[in-house]
Amino acid sequence: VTRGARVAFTAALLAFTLLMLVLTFGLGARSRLIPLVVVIPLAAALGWQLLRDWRGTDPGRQRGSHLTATARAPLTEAPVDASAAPAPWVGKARTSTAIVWIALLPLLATVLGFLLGPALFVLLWARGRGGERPVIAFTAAAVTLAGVYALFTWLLETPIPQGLLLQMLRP
Amino acid sequence: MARNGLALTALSASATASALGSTFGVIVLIGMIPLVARLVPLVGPPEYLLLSIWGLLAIGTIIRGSVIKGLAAAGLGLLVSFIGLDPRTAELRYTFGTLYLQDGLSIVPVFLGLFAMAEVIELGASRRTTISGMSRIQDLAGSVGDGMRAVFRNPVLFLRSSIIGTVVGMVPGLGGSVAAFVAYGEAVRTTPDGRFGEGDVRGVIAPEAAHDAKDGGSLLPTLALGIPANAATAVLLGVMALHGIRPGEELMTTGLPLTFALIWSLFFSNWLTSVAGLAVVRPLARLTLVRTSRLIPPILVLATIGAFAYRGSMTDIWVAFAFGVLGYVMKEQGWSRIAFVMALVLGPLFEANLHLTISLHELGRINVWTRPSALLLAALIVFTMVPTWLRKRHA
Repeated sequence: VTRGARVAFTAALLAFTLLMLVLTFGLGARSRLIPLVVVIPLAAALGWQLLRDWRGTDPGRQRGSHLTATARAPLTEAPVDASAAPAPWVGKARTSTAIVWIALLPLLATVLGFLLGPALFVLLWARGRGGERPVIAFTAAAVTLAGVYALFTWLLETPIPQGLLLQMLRP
Repeated sequence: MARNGLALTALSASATASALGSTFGVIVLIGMIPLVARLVPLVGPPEYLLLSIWGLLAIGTIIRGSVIKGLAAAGLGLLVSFIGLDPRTAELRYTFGTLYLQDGLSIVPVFLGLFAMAEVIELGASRRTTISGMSRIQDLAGSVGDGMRAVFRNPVLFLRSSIIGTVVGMVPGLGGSVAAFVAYGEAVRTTPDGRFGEGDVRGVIAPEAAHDAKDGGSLLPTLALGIPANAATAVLLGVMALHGIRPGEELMTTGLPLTFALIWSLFFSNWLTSVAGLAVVRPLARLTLVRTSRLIPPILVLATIGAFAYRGSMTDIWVAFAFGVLGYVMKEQGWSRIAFVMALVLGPLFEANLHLTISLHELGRINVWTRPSALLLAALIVFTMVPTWLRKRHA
């Protein structure tokens, strides 16, 4: 994890906390008492953590990582060559791609409903990410379709959500 | 443990701890039936408050690495738990004008996101071809026997966790999640040499034993006083009401055959699920050898349906996804997800009972200083937490 990523994440948490702090002051006197007791020290702690991340002096993190790495490393293993590790942007790109792929499922389920959405997701994943043959990909999608139908109809006994598209197309 | 190739050991330890934990809970249930009618009324808002404080303080002991990050994660969990109606004034807090947030965030999509989806994102982003990094069942270390033996090799841990589970189960309003987290916290606190979070089997035994031991405990207030301990026992009470069965004195005296029928059905159902679990340990362990690209879609689909099915809300699947991304980043950057969810679960309990205790005390309805159960709990908190904090400080 790069220093920039640590700073960005802590800053985002601090921004969220400050927003909550502002909202807390808008509450009635009796409703805001306990949230204030939590949110003020929290903002201070996050501010302090942000400073440590900014300066690159997070002793807990560094010490913990070092100890964990030492404990994990087999005695016979040669030291890891840092130059052999992939560049940070490779990891970032892989993570972003994974998140985008995973976001596809809630998106498809919301737009196409729970019957078609997951099946289409499985088909796209199997072909696009898994590199499966078309026969396997279509079989997996069909199994998902049948599985979801059975799950909702017999186990949950609830109507399958139809999705925004079908709702819009319905007269 | 699965990543270390120890899925067989983990699954069998989980099934064994569950079966034995539920047996412990059932034995306590049978033994305590005569006493329970006198014990449960002693638990009121001050005791709930102290139990939640105990849980919140336990967060400090389970934090590994940066203490500031751990405490901040717990603070964020508390802050998120405040979303929704104020328990005292019914004023809306942090809802951003949405109807969805008025009931607060549901625990199920948050849990599924922080743990299941975050792990899926990590799997998708990693270069591992399988979870265990192995491709043949012969390559997996550990065995079913190792997992079963691990429970018997840690009798103190097992007993402590089962007691925690049973006691937490008896307290109405606290569920299996609280039992499991408190037991896990205690396991971390009392095991300085443990490598929790990195494949220590004791991290499986403690929550599993507590989670199943709570079933026996939760039947106590339900049958003896008609107070549901959790959602499942609330449903049970509803069914009993439909059949004209009144819990309380009747079930503890003339209705004892029915009471014992319920207890035995609990006992056998828990054993049946554990035996069934042990029977499918090997096929389940094989999942750690399946290509991740084939494993991710079914996990994701099931997690998404699980998030949706709890309340039938499409928004819940987006909440699960958002917390999945949050959980992934928290894990990557060393922020404690356990501290976050413990605070999230205990926050509402703490806040509601703090208000109730203060109000009742001001009205003169209760005196916290003369309640033996509250004083006993306060002493327990001091005796369990202070030595741990001192030990941590010296370390």
